[in-house]
Amino acid sequence: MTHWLDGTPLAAIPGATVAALIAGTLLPMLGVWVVYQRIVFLGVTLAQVAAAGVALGLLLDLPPLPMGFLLCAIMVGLVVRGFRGGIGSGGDSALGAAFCVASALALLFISRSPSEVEEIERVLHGNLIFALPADVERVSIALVAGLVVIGLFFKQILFSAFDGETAAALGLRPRSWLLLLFVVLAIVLTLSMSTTGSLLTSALLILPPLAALQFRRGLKASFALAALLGFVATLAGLLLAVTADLHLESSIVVTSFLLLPLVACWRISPFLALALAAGLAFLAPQLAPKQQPPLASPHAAVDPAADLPDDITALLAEATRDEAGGAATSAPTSVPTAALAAAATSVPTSVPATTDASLAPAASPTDKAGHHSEALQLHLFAQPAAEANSVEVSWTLELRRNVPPQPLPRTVYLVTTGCGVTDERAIVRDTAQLRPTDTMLTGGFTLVGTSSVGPIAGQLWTGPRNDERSTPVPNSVVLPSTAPSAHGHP
Amino acid sequence: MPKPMTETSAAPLVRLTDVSCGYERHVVLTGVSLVLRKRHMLALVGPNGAGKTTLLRTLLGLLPVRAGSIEYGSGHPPRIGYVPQTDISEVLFPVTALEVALMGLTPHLGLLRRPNAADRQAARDALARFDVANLAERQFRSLSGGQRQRVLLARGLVGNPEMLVLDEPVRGLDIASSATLVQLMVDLARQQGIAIVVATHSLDLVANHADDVALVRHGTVRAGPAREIMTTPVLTEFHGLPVHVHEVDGQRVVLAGKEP
Repeated sequence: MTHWLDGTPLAAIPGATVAALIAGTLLPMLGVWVVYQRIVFLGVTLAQVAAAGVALGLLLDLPPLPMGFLLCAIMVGLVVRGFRGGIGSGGDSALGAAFCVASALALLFISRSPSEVEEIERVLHGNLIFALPADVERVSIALVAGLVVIGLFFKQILFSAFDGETAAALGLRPRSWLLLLFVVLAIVLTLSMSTTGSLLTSALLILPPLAALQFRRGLKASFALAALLGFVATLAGLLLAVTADLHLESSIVVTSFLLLPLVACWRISPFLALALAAGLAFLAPQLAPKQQPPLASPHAAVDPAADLPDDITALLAEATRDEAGGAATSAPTSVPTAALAAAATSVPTSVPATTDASLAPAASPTDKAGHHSEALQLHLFAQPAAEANSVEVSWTLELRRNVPPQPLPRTVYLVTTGCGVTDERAIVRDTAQLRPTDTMLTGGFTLVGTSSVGPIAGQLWTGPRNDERSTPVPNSVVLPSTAPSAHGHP
Repeated sequence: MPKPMTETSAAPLVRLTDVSCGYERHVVLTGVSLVLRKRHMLALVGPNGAGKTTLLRTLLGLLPVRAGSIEYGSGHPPRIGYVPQTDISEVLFPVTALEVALMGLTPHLGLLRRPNAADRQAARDALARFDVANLAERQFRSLSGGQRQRVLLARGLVGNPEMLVLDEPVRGLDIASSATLVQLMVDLARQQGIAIVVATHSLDLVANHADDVALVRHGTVRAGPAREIMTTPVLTEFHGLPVHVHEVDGQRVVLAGKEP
């Protein structure tokens, strides 16, 4: 499905690329209605109300997405009730109040929610980089269905939005048609938000149509321009995130915003806009962090088993041979075997923190902030491998036993995305077997994909993701790494 | 409940008898009785906030009749064309003049049918009738006030209405555009048999072109033929200050204040 990405920097994040490009192309078409009808704040507020609904669902142990939609529907009903056939009415003050209350309620519901933090974060803010085929499917169906419904009743919705009073005088029901528009908007935003996050969803809904508006073209051309600009901005944002190692959603928001000055320049001179775009494209890689020496203790990256007891080293070596013969040759999208992890973590890979302290990075984002809130913190380290399109990944799992808000899961799986593949493996088979002194576990594996550069990100799960009982591990964090080009390192 | 008229008169289209109208919790006008006839222009006149828009919206069917009765000459509500105030130019929708004119056909197209070539031609013909066919592909928001008014008139007429309702049609127009527009309305009434309802503050327009006048003030309406209503005594009493109606070269001029 994503073979067309092979050989591109985006091959490292195929699911995220497809989901973002689909949302980036179709959401702006929906956003044309939002921007041109001057209900931008309604769109943003709907996203926040959906978030509050999702949080309420998690709090009450009810299905979160339907709850998000339910709250949106209630709000849409109130907005339409206040619609008097005029244009763009809806009451900015009421929307402002709804936005504030929804934001606060979302936080309050989350603070009292029994759900796992990772689950809340995933549903509320999306997790684009870990977009699964099911997420892509859901976003695509929601957007296409929404646009088809609006397309079928285009003339009624347009008349109602343009001049509701006359539409009513001529026998249409403008409130009903606008209700349809808002309901479609609420459903699409709720469903998109769980993959692309509320920030990116709102940005794609607003920024590309705003840029399209500057061209002062007709309505149909505006839809096409918004879709085109949204696609270009999303593609640019994805490339920016990959090349400069930046946060994915935020990068797309920034490139979507840059559409506004670029289009303004385009209207002065297309050459000026292209020159500006080329300059920005040149500067983007400069934002990338300087490559650090892979590890303070290089042997740990090259050979995670070094310094380990002999019996563990033997197990790791055996597992590495299994990996090279099995997962290393598997298809890019397949999930490699967990032989290494199984061997490395079955019991003996845990080593005293004192002996392995050098494996930890000098500083992590959480360390800088002074917070140590995660019970599990896993560091990923990437090194070029000898084989083409492959990367040696080593990991260090830090167990912080003094901050356990809840028991550790029995099994810990590491899901890694990078090099165009998603890898899934058990890194701790049975946490009950760990000794109290086991505070640092290490391991490694070879990631074979379609590229040897790009970000390597990970997430801890309680089991295989195809197991319905599995969820992201609560109170855990995975610090990503960037796979440097093999040619860039001697 | 709308009722058909039982009497036959000079082609009455709509008759309001002792009607009360208003909004959910607020009755704005009571005891409204007036007749709207084919080929006639009915002018609604009154100060701001008197209830002209309420009466207009009641005639359009946007507000329910809270008391009294409303009868239709044909037994059912007439086909309506509506030309609102041009404030809708504030919208951002980049629709062309042709697309605006086509909106007038939306109720007649059915649920899913899109406008076809014949519909587009009808809209172009309507634009041509008001000398704005050359603006068909121009964006509505880029047009001048007078041009917008003509496009909205074209939209109001493209569905072949029996009753055309205009809200402040000459507000903000220069004297030439205003005169042209008024003549267009007169022609529509006289030549095509359309009943025209116009809410306006322009007493000169009313004095020279309206057939019937409804003075709206203090929660009620005084309606009658223009020749009886647009007189110095009636207007002076209505406005509460001296108002004089003069005739200059066959044109009636309404002046407020002391007589010159």
